[in-house]
Amino acid sequence: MTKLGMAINLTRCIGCQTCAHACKMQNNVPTGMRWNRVITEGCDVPDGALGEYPNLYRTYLPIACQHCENPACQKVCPTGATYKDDQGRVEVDYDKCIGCRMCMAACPYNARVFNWEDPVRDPDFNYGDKSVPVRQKGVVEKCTLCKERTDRGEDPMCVACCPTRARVFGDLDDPSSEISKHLAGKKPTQLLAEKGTEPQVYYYE
Amino acid sequence: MTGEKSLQSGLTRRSFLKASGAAAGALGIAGAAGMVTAEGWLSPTEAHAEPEERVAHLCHQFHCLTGCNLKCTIRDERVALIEPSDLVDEGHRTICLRGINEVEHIYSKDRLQTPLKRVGERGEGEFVAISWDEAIDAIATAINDSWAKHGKDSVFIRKSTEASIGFDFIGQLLLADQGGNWGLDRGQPNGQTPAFGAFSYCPSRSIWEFSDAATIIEVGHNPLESGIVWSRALMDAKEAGVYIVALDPRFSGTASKADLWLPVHPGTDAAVIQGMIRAILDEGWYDEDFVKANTSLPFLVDRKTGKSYRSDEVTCPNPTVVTAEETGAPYVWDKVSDSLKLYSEEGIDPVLEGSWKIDGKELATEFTLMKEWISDYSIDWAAETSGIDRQTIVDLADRYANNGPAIIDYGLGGPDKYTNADVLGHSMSILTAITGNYGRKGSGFGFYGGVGADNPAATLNFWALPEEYHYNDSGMAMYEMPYMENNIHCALTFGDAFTLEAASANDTLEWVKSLDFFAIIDIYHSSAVDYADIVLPACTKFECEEDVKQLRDSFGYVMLANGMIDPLFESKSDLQIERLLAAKWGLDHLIPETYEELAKFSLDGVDKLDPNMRGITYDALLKNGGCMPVAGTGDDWRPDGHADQVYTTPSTKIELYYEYLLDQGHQFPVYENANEAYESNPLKETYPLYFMQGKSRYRIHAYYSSSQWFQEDFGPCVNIFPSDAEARGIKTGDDVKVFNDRGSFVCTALVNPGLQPGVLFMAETTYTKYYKEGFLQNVTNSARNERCYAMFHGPQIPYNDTLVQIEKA
Amino acid sequence: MKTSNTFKITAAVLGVLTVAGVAAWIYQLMGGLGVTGMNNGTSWGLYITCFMFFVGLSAGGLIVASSASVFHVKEYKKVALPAVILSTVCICLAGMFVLIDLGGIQRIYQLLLSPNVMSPLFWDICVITLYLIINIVYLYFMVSKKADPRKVAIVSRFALPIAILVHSVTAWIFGLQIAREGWYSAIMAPIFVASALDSGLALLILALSGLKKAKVFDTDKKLIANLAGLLATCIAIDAFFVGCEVLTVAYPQAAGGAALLGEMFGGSTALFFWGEILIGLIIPFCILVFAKNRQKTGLVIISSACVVVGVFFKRVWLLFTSFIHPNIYGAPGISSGSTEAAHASGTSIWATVGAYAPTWVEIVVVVGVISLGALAFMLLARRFLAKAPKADVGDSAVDDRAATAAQTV
Repeated sequence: MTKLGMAINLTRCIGCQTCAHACKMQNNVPTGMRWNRVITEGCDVPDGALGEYPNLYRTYLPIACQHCENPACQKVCPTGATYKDDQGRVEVDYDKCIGCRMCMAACPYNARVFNWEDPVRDPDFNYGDKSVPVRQKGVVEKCTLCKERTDRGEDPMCVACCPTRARVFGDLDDPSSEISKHLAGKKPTQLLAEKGTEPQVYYYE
Repeated sequence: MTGEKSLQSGLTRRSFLKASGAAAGALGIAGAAGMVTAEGWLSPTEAHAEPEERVAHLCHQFHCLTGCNLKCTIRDERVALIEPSDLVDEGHRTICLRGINEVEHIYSKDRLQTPLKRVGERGEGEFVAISWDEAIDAIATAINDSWAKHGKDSVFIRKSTEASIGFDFIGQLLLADQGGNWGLDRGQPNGQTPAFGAFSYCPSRSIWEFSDAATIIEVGHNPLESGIVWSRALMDAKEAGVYIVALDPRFSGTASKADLWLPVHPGTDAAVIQGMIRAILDEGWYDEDFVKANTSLPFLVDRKTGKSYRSDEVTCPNPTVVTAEETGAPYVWDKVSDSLKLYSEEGIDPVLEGSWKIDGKELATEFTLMKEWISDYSIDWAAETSGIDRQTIVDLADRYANNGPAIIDYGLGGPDKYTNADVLGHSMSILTAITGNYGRKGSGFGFYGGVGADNPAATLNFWALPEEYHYNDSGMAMYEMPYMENNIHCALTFGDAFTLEAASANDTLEWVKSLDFFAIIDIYHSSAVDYADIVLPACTKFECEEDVKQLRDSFGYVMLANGMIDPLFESKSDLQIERLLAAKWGLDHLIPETYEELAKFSLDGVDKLDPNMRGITYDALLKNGGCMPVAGTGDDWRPDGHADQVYTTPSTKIELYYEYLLDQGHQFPVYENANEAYESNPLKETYPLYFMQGKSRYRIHAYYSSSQWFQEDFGPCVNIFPSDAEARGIKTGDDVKVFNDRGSFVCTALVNPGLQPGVLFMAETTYTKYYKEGFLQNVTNSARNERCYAMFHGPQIPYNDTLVQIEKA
Repeated sequence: MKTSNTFKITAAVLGVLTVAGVAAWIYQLMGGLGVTGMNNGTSWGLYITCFMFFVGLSAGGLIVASSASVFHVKEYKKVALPAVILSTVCICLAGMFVLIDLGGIQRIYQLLLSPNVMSPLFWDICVITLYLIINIVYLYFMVSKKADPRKVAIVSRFALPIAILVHSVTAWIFGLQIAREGWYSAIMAPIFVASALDSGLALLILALSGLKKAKVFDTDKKLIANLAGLLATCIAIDAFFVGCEVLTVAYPQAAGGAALLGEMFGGSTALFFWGEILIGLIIPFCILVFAKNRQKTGLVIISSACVVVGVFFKRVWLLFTSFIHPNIYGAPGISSGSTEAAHASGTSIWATVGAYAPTWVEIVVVVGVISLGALAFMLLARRFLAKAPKADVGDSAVDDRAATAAQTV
């Protein structure tokens, strides 16, 4: 089986938001929403800090769909619009989505965004990859692991653009893949591992 | 798409887009004061069933000093997708959010759409649209009038940094004053240049040697938000286990990745460095062999006069510009012969420390004088001044001196933005030299991040104008013009020089208002636009009347922008704007007709001048997508810079004793407070907070202010430490007024513990329209340090040397 | 029976409100759910609150009616018909709220084309449909001219478990979500059932009192007192479950639970939590626990109203508290999804914690739906209750036959 996933090196992540904007561009993500975001973990302001001055610390944490092996969102979708594809990705069939937002309630990562209105775009045209389907009002959307790019054998846009090469993409089930080699010998963690969703996005330091 | 397209066919292709653009432009003007919207003009082509796609390549920004080659997907004549180029090797496949964001920014609503003429008062931003002919006529008339009334030296033309890449014709053709190029963010280089040579702030070794260092000290440098793609080298080093130290008043991104954050009080970095020097000299941690062999410290100095004891009284007229003139050679005391010898004699062993009486002169080595100088600065003093505790300074000195190769990487900006920055530059030069951290693998000192020896340089022909055409530099920096007598009455700027390259905006803009005439050529409705009489819309680097545009030498590659979209709205390329202006004086024949002509000229025969350029021709470039490597470029390019320990100083050694500053008493860097931002300043009673500015990932200076994607994330906001905020009842999201005697502005507060108490931090300027009131340059300090007029780069603008108070607006 | 002016005016007002609600809903269909206060952080709002609320309200009626047959509670038999009407109306409203909440109602056929049997929402849709059918069938058998008590008895045997199931499944929409600290609890279904019992009963009491006042249907004062006693018991059960849940969340003093309880005890949802405790549990229980008070119709009505309001408050805190704190906290937070921020400068598309306030559209829609429900109840009551045989005549006979049928089944 193919199990596509991603490994993110938090030591190398500089919180620059390039991945967030690369994703927005590539996937024609409308105004007001992001599929991919980088938070300053635990802080109430971006680029804030934890700890007591001067002993401060800060962790930038990129978050998008975790492409869980046991996806909570997929289970609850009443129409099967959210599905796990043969590459191990969690995808959304926009034509099946009835906009109930059950998946948004079920996702522990707040990875999903909803087209509350007719999508507004700045600039006012469909930017990004032309093979990315245009979503309509009333459907949910999220990181597709750049399905259109990865199907062509390319890296997801966030991986391709990361200035510090903090991201590695590949097949977790293939021991010879770059990602498998990358994770070997490391102590990768999964976000909210205790929820048992088994994310296919791994983080390590 | 091919590169064969002529200017003519380019114009044909734009036909209907241009027409709809003009309509939208006119609408925009009618709507409100200035530009309104770029929306709507795009809609007609949405009906296209099968989108037509092509790929364009160009070299992106230079002002972040990264020069990424971007691969752009153009769909239906719009830039729809931008990604890292595949025409370059892996190490150069770079992009950051700013490059990506151009997809929005090109079309953003602040684009100037048509030429404009002011109808309201200066600063009000009331304009009417006029034709290009009218606009160019108005500018030519104003310049001619100014010449007639005030003389030829009354015209000021300046291209701000990014706008001046590639060519710079019109200012020279009109013999204009360009306001110098002094000081701006070159305070530390001022202190470094005499020691290591001119432009030594540009390292002679590669940033990729970061991983070979044992220790890296980042002095006020935050590559994680400035030249973002360069932070990859720092992260490589971090993963390789290099010990990273960040000196910064705030907990910057870089500080958060560092092993040690030293939250120095603003403007006191030099105290930390001097404390380290003291510790190293006290403990004998210096590299004696290196100091003897490669520095001026064994040179003898006449104690009474303070002048170096040399074979001839003649000294190099300007130690920072080494000429071929004969100068006296300094003496040293040779241990072997126990006698006076010229420093350059073979087989000598200079004594490092000591005093001698010769010819009735009391001579001492520079090293001895240095020890006497440093005896004024105790480590406790350094600790008290900087706020960094004594043991930390000593430990860092130990680590820096004794633990393997070390690099000091400082930011251009940051500590440069204080009047005492040269003291820091000089101090760091001494620290580097006495520990031998230069010219060796994994060692170095300078600004790493795009100006170092990271890649082989290309050789390109330079389009020279006939000799009689050149800038008429009065020697006065632009930022001094509001304060010093001058004959400037008519100004033309490409880009917003006035609010970006000068502090204390109320003074600057008052001066701008006093001019007879001011015209601006800009892409966006920047802050200065509102003060202009005539506004010309320029296009972005993605647009051109032709298929090709700028040719650039960028990090080991020659890059020719190609596959351009047509200029949006009524905008024009810089070259065509300069040609229109030059034509008014019949001078347009002196400059290239097209970018194609300029590029062809630049490349003509370069392979004969430089074998590394072999095969790089105009046609070959276009065939290769507009990007070809200079021979030798590659991920493993590591020049062994200064391994020979020969420096472009008069003695070819690292010269640490600045005799040329004798009058100021700064032969060694005498610590001094900044102009305004220092702890014991009585002004602190009124304005108790330091006001710092720095880079944001969402800007290159003010550029990208109008990006709506960025506006989703970021706007003008001032960071304030929680206790300072609490004392003033300020919460995140509140509107706050920041003020001092120079002026004020209102923006949003962000209560952020990632600072030190007593310090406000704000990202660099943005267009005034995005503030609730005023903008940050209203409060910044425009003082100039007299001492710096003698220095290579002249006085810097001390933007960060600013005290303010803040309150809820 | 003549149509009174009060009836006419009330019906007209409700009609107007219903039309307004429909208009607001059409407006929402055109503009999208962006016209509501919902956002990516708080992705469910007033509609889902009302959905939970009305599912619960519908329970009381059917449980009272069916337990009359199943457990041979003779007294209840007398109010079975109004109870079933109330139940039918409420479940219709609940269903409407789910539909109104859908962003892509035009694709709802996908539920039939490609159902996902793993989805609690799918279960709920099935169970609610079934429940509605049962209600209608029940109603039919009761009001049919050839009313057959045996059939009523059979249906009631199905109605009771399905009524309990419908609350449980609704609870599982929330209770099975490991993503949300405040929802993921085994006691969620019992809590929902308890809330359904007390709020449903309370609403039934209110409805019966209303019908009595309108002289449409007279309920014996003793029966009201009896129902009030049952209500007191249900309140106690409800309070017990809430107490169990809160204690279980609080005891470990874990960060997630503490944040949740912080909001409930002193944060954004505190008003609703304490409101429920006070208005929904303490006050009505303290009143109704005394038999003497249960005899006083006024006090019973006040207590019932308190319970209905209290349970609504409970729906609010149950739903929203779990939307406030994202599991992974950090600025800038979650993108709201609102395009209103498109032309703002600053971080206005982001929120580090969930926030929600209903917009006028939601309020008008909700008022419209409830008005429609009230109108429907009025009309149905008029249609069936006014014509129903006099409450006392033949009642015991029916009752006996039903009881016999129950024994023989």
